[in-house]
Amino acid sequence: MPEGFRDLLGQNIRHLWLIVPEVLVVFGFLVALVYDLILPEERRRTTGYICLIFIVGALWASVVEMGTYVNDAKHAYMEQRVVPAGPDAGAETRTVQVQREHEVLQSKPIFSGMVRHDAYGNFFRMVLLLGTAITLLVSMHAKELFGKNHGEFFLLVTATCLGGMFLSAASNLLMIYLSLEALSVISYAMAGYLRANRKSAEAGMKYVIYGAMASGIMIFGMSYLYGITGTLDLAEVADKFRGLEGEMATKASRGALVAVLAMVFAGLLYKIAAAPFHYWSPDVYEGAPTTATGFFSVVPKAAGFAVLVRVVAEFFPIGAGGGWDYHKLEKVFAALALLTMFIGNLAALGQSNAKRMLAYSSIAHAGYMLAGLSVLRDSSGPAAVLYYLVVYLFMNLGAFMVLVAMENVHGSCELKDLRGAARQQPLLGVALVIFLFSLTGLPPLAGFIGKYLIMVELAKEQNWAMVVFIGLNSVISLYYYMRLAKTVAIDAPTAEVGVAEPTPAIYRALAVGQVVALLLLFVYFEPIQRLCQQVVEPLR
Amino acid sequence: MNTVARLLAQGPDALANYLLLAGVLFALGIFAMVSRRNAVGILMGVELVLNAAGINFVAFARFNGHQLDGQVFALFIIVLAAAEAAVALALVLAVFQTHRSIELDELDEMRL
Repeated sequence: MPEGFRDLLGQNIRHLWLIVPEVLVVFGFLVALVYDLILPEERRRTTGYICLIFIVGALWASVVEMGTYVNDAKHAYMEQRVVPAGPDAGAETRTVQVQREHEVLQSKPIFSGMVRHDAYGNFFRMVLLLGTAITLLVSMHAKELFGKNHGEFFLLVTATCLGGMFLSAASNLLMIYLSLEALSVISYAMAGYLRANRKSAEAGMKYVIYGAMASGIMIFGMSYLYGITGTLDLAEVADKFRGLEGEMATKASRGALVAVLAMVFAGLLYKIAAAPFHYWSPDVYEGAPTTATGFFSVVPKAAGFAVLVRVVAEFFPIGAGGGWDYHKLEKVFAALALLTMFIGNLAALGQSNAKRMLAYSSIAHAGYMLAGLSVLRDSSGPAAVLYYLVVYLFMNLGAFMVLVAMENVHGSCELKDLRGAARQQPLLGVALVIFLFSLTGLPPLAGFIGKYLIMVELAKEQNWAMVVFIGLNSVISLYYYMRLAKTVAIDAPTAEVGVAEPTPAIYRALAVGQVVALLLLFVYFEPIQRLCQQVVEPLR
Repeated sequence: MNTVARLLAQGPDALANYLLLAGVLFALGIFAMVSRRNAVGILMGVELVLNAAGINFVAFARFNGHQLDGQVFALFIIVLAAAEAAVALALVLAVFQTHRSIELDELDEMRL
């Protein structure tokens, strides 16, 4: 064995300890895969527990890791120490600045620079794992998934989560492409999971066609990035790219560089369903199984934002400017955000299907988050987006979970079939109304803080137009959210549903848990917001 | 056309030729995606685009001091294109079984 190879092998094995959550998810997937095969058909639901155990284990590992970051950050920020003023000063003291190395907080490239090991990736890891854990619990009791293939659904959810975890840590063009595809290809299968269902099959096919188009264009853009910079490492690509941009004399060659970058960004914006790359999402969200829809609207979207913010931070160093005019990018993001918000909210107004309505609403939420990215002066704009994602995770997954529970009873997500659905499931009905209030952005719920933080950042930039437009959009969204709430909670049921079987206890527990989380995120938003800030800061 | 003629004058084994080929493939792929209404036709367009990217990677790797990472990237593109095609064709089959058609225009189960 050549010496260099052995070194590399040893290094890679040592780096495995830094991605314990990912390793756990891989093991969980493999164990569950075998377990599902040897189980009799009617008991395949229990595969979900295997996946869940490993996902929770991975979540715990990343929470522990986050603890070390927080600890380090605390020490790094407590720089002021009280020391004796001098050798013969007696009781006199003075305060000195103690410089501490942010050893732990530093972002380290691992696996030969394929992924980075940092608090930012770990933050998203936690978000993704939490979303996956909730989805697993919900899908275990979703009637539409029952059948001999039920176990496979858990495997798909787990594997998608793995793709997202690598995507949020990726720092190499190859790794970004690989993990994005892992995330997407498995989502296609999830969307078309109910093969015999016309809508689901159609959703799966539309997803795969639009997704393949987007990734094809992105990869073509990446090939030019590689060509003009001669490397695949994201940081080096960005550095050289910026250098080239300064040298380019003619307008045409500068335009070519922008076009290359636009191709790559198109692939990423597709993943978060930002307008004008959102065409796939209403159809896919409506046709896919409801559990999968909730999952799509949170987990792949969070991973997409993770990589988007990372790429933006590399190409346009946040705050520093770095010779590049990041104001232009701010304008692009602001325009996209406005377009996304308005398309999402206006289209949601006329929907008669609750699932499709929430699909458009999740487009609108991507718009709010993009508005946060239109403030790149310092890291607090992206930090507000991270906070919004955490809140969005709870409120959107919560709303979709209630839809799953109601679909279990009423067999449909059409508004006309959901009339008075809260009478069968009062607790979930109340929870749904709370989630919808939070999605609108009303206090005292965390959705308010999410929007507030983004608006504050915009206001600091004197970008009053955007602030007004976000407010306006919240008002528009209030109409259709309340329409859904009224249908479920106030309207009289059209047809008498027989004695419904009781709501699974886990749904009630999850509903209460998520409502409490939304309240807590409202009251104690500051520590989480500070965490988001600390996490984004090391991204240059 | 002048530019093309100049590029061709550099001889057969020049970077520009490969880039030109990839560019043409990309354009054809995009054209197929936009003009075809048949799901399999669109997927063929996607394959063209992916292969265009692959050619670009290999060409850049070769003319950039025989780097390896571009070649590796091209291999990964081939593998992932195969995986994607497998999933895509399975879904197309499912759609054919439920709708008896794979024309995108005729898939109107869900509309505004």
